[in-house]
Amino acid sequence: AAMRSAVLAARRAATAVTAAAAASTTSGQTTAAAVANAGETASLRARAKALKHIDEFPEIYPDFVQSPVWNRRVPLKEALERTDMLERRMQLDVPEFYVGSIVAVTTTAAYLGAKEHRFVGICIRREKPGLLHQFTLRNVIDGQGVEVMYELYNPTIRKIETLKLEKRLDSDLSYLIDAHPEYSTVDPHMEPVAHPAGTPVPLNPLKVRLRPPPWTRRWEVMGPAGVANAWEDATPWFKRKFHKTKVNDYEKYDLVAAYRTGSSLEHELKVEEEMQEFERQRHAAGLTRRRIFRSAAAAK
Amino acid sequence: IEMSVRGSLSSLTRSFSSHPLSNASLPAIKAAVGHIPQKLKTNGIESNRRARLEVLRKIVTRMVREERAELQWNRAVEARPYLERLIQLAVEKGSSDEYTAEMVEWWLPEPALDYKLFEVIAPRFVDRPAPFTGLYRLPAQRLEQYIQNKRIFWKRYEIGVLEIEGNPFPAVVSTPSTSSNLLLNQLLKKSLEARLNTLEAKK
Repeated sequence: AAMRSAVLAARRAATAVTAAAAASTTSGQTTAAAVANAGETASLRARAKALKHIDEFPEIYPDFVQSPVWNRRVPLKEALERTDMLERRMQLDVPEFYVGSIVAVTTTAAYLGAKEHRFVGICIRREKPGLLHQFTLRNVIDGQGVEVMYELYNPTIRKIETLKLEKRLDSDLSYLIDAHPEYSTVDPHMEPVAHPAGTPVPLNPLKVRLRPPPWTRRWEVMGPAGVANAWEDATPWFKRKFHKTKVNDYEKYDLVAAYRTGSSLEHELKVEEEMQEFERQRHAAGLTRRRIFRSAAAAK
Repeated sequence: IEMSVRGSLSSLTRSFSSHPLSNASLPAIKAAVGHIPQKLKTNGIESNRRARLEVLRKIVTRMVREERAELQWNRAVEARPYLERLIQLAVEKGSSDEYTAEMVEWWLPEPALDYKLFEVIAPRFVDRPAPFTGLYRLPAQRLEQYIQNKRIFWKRYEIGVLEIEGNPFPAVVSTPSTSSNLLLNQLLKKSLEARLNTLEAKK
């Protein structure tokens, strides 16, 4: 579908000259300018196709996405951080993982005999742009819930493995802290589950059952998609308090706020181009064949 | 909280029914986006985030219905990126997309405006890149507010014209038209040429 539409776009761009000349533009654009501008949309789509753009770029590379704070989007800072990030990704294989995937992280630990420590858990959140990017793994060990936050670009991380690649209904599984322990328990010695390349990443539609209240946060207010019966399980006190709660679910209709927080196609294409150029240079140097720009869902 | 998403609208015969950027991020909005959202104060209504969105929704609905409107400059500036984004969603994703349908249902509450957006406005911009809107500035207006002790108090309003490109109205800024095609001018031109020819022939 993407290919067919790109061909159609190219065909339309070719006929844009005659179309612009024939139609009288009320905007007052000259035909020359119209021709020049008509190439822009076609070129963006053509560029996306040429770079083999990954549609799920913000999900796979959330560290390369710009800051959600508009005023912190400084191009120079981002460019400098990106060079360091790409350098690190050439040294350490950072696999693809999502919130809901089971990940194992091996870090250096000077005080242990084996000099390294391995923690396995379910990824519950991924935050912060650039070199600050961090992800949190949760597991229940000896009956105690443990959440460990790792900074992705921390040099003491020796290895990151995705034991099970999957997505969940939410992009933030913080509610697992108030869920029954079986939903957070991961076998520390589990074998990796291979994900066949080219198949889409599976979505686990699991709805979690919460423990009886009190909870750490008011899950019944904006019941996450991955929680079953958040409202039913809440106590009457919280249900009465809901009358006074200022629920701002209208914020999701604020298109420009979403734009300022989110990622634009131009930025993603720029980053993909940088990634591919970096890979090309390093592969040409001959020291490594490690790939940074890849997607588990894309066919090999 | 479950939102009722309407079923996909049946689009008429279109040669470009496939949407290339179906799952990808959208391109940037080609209109100036302020770094602080304006309050958009309204008489009798508390200026909070909900009120602001309601003012913008009314402006966007009016824009899609009428394609050109004169309004307060600051409101036009604020509403322009919203209108751009809505049109962009309609062009890039189309009516079958769940998110787009939800946004259009909220932003255009009037009947048949969703049809207008998807079937009338969006097809204009398949080959035409952003910006999809134009913003022009008109001279400020002084409007009488109230009279106190026989003294008239005025208020000054900055006015702007916000329009969707490709609308059927004449251009806001008219291009200077040449009058050399008028009959009188043509006759004068020809007569002068004829006079010049006779004078040259005499020499």
